[in-house]
Amino acid sequence: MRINNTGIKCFPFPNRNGNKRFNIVKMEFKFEEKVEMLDPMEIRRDFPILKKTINGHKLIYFDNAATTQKPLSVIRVIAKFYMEEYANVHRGVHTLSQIASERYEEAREEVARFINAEREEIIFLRNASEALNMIAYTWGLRELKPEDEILTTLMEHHSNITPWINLSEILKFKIKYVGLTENGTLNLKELEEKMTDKTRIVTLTHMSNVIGTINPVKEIAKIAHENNALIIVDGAQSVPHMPIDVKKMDCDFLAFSGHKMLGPTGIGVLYVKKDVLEEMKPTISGGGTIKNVRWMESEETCKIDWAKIPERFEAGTPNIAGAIGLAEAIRYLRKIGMENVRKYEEELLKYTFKEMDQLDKIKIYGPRDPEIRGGIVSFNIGKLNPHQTALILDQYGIAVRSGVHCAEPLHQKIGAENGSVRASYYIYNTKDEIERMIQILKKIEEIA
Amino acid sequence: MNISEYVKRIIRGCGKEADYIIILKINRLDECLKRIIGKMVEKENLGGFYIKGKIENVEVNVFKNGRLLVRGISGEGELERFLLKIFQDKE
Ligand SMILES: Cc1ncc(COP(=O)(O)O)c(C=O)c1O
Repeated sequence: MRINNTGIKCFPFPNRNGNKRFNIVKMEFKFEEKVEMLDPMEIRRDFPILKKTINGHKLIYFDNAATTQKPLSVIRVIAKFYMEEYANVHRGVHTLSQIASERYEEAREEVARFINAEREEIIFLRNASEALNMIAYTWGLRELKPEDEILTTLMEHHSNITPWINLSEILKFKIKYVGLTENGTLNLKELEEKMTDKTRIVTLTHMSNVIGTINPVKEIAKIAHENNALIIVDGAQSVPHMPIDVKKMDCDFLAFSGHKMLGPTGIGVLYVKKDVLEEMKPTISGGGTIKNVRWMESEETCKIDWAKIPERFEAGTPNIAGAIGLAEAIRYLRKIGMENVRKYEEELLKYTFKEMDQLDKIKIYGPRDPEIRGGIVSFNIGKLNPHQTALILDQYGIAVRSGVHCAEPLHQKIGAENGSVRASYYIYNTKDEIERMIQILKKIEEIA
Repeated sequence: MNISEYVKRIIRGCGKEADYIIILKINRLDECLKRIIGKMVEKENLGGFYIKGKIENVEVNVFKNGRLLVRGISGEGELERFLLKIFQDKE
């Protein structure tokens, strides 16, 4: 540790070459609580794309809820895998296949550690959408009966609504929706009221991808379990941005995407609690998901003996390089520390609110308390259509998203039927970048 | 003539109203912008950010980096006919 003359303590942080450098800054203020802050300027050096110029301006990337940029270490690890270690995994007996299999299984262990799960509880899929669909069409397809009910919320991404609607059309179970309070939090009272002895599943997002609300999933898991229901947590927005411990949270399922947490696209994770997973049979099956398929002469049929978990749920050749890239992304995040990630984003959020509050025509959606909100700020300015605002910002190299962000029912509920502009942050964003956006928003206000 | 001579991509903006974002091809950009702006009525330059106006009662927003925001068109077919007309017609 190094102390400089400003009283800021810098902790060594190994860089991509394994050398120590000073990356996490601990600021001590007299009589004040110690605050540990990551140093975004150091982090930015690991992200080549952030040096890019867009429309003649330095790129300001505020579309992290859609997908995040990739550090060099992730890019390099994927390239190295293809250049030096690539083969198909699992049953190959040759050495290269052994190396690839080891790397793939190490990746699974890294993911498991990150959320405090067991390796057998981690299934690699393409993304959170596929993971949520997988729950519906494996567990749901076999378990849900016409007299059953499931509970979801009006805060969900379409990926956690459409699979359930689709399935309920076939199986005829009922879907109940829990609404929001005035300030954009989930209405827990309504959730308890809608829970009945017919409720089999509570499925909800941990963090809203529009209004940033962090739902108290631990508390909700307790309510669900007291009512003999299982709980599915859509962690697409929470896992990349805060510490997650599936044991403490006590969820039965957790879905998330690698590309939203510095990893590559095409790799996602479904965590399922071991005793639930052991009982499940796959819907997508074939190579890798079975121990054997035996022809039973006397019965004139084939009998399947399913593989052990988690292989039972990974049909065909998986995204090996994707899993390895995701593991490297997790290593990168772990070095920074997820507590630090969360704290830093809270700071960015506080700063945004402070600055945006000086604008007259802005409407910010969702809770104003950064303690229960992730680094996502959705807003509209005056009468401007969200796409107009986003297209103006794009001319200044600022990447934000506009529209309903795959959460149309939520936009109806918050009174923004035609969508919103969304700025969403990550570890490489800075207050200066936010300041730049606000300056332009101030000018936009003049025409809004 | 095909609109793909001028248009690189069309994005349907999600939400209640039908908004389309049209990304114009960079090699025909100047010609394209001239044609579109030439056809617009009730033109307004909004803070230097973009030009808003109407073509045949359809709201068109022109951004100088080659993006159009076309609002209030009922579907892809109608949008294509609308764009074709803009690009085909002589000024
Ligand atoms: C809350 C939430 N759930 C699910 C998803 C779907 O993620 P993916 O597109 O990676 O499948 C998203 C993506 O934005 C999301 O924000």
